[in-house]
Amino acid sequence: MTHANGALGATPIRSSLLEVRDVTVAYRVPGGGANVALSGVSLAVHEGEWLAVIGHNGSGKSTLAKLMNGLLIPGRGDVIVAGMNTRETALHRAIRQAVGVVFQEPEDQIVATLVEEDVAFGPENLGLARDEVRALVQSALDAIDAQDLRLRAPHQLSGGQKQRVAIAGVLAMRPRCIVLDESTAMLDPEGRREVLDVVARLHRAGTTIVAVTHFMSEAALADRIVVLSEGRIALEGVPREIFGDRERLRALDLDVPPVAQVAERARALGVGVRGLPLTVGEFVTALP
Amino acid sequence: MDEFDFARGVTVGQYVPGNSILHRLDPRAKLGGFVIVLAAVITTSSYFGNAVALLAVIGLVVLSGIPLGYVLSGVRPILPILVVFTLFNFLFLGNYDPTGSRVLWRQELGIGPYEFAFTVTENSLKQTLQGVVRIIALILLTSTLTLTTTITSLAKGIESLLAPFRRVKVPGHEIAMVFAIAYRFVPTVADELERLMKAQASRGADFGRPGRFQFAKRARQLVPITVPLFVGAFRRAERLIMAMESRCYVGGAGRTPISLPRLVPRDWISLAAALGFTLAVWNVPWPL
Amino acid sequence: MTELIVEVRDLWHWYLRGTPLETVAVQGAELELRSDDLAAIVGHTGSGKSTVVQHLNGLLRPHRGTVRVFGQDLGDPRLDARPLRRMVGLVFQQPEQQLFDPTVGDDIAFGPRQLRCTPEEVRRRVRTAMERVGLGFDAYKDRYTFGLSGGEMRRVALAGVLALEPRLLVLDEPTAGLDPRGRAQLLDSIRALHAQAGMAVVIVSHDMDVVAELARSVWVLAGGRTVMHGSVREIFARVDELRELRLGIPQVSELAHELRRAGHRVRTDVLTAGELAEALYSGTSPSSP
Repeated sequence: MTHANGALGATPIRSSLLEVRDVTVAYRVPGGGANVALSGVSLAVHEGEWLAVIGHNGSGKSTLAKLMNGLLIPGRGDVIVAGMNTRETALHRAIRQAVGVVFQEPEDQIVATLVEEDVAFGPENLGLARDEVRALVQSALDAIDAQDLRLRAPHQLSGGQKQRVAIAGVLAMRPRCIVLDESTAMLDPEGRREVLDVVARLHRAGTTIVAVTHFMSEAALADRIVVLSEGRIALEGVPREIFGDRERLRALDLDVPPVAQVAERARALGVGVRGLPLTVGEFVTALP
Repeated sequence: MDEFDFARGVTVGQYVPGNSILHRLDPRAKLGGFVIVLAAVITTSSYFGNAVALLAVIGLVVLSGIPLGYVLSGVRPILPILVVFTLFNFLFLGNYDPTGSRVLWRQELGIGPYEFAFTVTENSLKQTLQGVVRIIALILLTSTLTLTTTITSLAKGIESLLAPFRRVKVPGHEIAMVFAIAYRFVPTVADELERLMKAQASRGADFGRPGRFQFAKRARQLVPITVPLFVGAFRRAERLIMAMESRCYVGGAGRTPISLPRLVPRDWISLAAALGFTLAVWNVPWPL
Repeated sequence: MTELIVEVRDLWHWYLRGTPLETVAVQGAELELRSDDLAAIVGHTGSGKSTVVQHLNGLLRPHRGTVRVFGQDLGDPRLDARPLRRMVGLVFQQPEQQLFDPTVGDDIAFGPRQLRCTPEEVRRRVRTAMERVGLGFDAYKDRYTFGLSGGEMRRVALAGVLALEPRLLVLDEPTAGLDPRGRAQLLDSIRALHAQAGMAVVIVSHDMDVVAELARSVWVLAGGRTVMHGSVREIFARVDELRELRLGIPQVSELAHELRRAGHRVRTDVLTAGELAEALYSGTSPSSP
């Protein structure tokens, strides 16, 4: 299973599907005062890329995810999705069709008592004709490799299966970008593998992915990483750049993936490890 | 022994698959029939009429192919209330008889400065007995409906029937949606309830019965269960709303219309039978 | 002088026993815990691990086999399990969902108050429990429970169980949903509870990195049975078996295993990045066998 990692060097100019322009989001706190979730954040998501957003709870990463499809409107600044400004409520339907969001809790995204019906929920909301809905559900279930789950009750599925069904529910609307807001946080290792396999497949097929996560090993699979800390962007770059600077990450209470840790320690002891391996596969080939 | 296992046996709105004619009827026919038969059950005011209505409902249960004992077990939880209700009516309703019917029994009682009278008149006796029969019949009838109809089916039926009323602002879709979602979460909440009880028991919470009439104490005992359930429910609702909005849900407007197959002869015949039954019950000159 | 505090032999348990929906959850599980254990129970979802641990404080009773906790036989129907819940503190998954009192201090005090402790004793226990989870007594005791962050709420819930001063602490998926910082903090607290408060600790987890970091012995459950047990090193060296059981493997162990398969001379019973680095170093040095 190989995933594309952005290479260092000149990146071809790609159109940005999503732009976050100098955005600030603050919540009023009971008892006066405000909690600033994001402060002056600017970010562009390019068509077809896999962007990972990492940070601690409270860093603003979930807020950022919700800005991307207009669930939240920034207090200051703008979020432009495929040329549409999320401030315009009339455009929300088009925006949410273009950008689908999969959330953290598998159980609380399911609306229906049959997988087939739940996946149909999105297309039905768009008022599409019955047979078109049926076709979209079919292709969405194919994309997540779950035709066998079609007539099952979502409540009885495993966490990984539920999240795949949630992804299908989003896919059925044919989005250009899928935002995963810590979608693997509540899953066991097998579930996480299931979901990441689907995400990788979608990415290869051209879907833009924004994955908010705190698993470094997941971020290592992305084309580009943005590190949020206390509502601001602390670091930005390709995985090799980000994970190459362990000091800076440690200063943010984060760390590099375990594989990279091994590489760093081994190199310090004198073992000839080439480059900066971030996955198990990369490490094996990095040794003489 | 397994004191916490009860929640899995929740039967409210439970669907039992089967192949009886009741199972195969269109939900709209069933809903219509339900309302019609219900009218007979709760409005007939003769002993014979009531008995016939109850027998008819029992007949429907038998027709459904679901064991009568199982359906009757739905009455058990309300038995205490039923007993209290019956007792009160029996003793006191006669004091307020506007029809001035014959007094069958009267007992006066003086406790200090207060005087009570227990009176049973012909009319009050009738009302009391009818009350019991109506409640039982109502429970059996409703159970039969939900036991033979899946929630999706019911929701579609409700939405379809209410669709013509959209002109007068009746939110048919939303009503159906509320039912469907509430029902879909019954097993989820049941699981959560079980976990909560186990978690609080692990902290030393005692759910033993404090005494028949210590309602306040009982309510206080249940705070470690009720508060987290409510808080959890609100959090869950919040997450569900975000997931639904992300999939472009804005209520019933513009949604793909519900498509139910045309009503077939057996649906019409069942409706006619229900109507015939109710008209008969109303118009037959019952001797009592 | 360690004692055997938990003995589970050939445990069987069914869900909804006697109903048409009856399913077997545990079929022949075994477990042994000593008073100084820092153990982990691992297994695929549906392996029965949660069911097994719910026997340890009497929430569930064995349907077949024996469960003996602190010398008490849970198979005896006359046994009142409630006093046992004082000695065995069971913390469920996402325990922050069980908080109910609007004041942090009062929620934590629930357990001790149920035990009929004197107000001074309640105060003492709450203070100690809060300190053990890293919540300052004065800073947090009057805070509004539902206004705290997720990580803080979890620590309040843990404190609520610690206030019972159990001798055995059982934690079901303690780090689920926590970010790296919260996770590190919680693991530190757990280690301190074991080392300083002398509690025996068992975690149930499917996060193998947590298990590798924290536990000293591991019990592996699959299909309702105990299939492996041993020291954490022994167990994680058996990567192929764990894979066959569809279990996760600590990333470091996985790497060691793959390196060995690729022909490098490394030990596979490593648990930390440092250990693997050392193993690589000694594996490539000329003096290695």
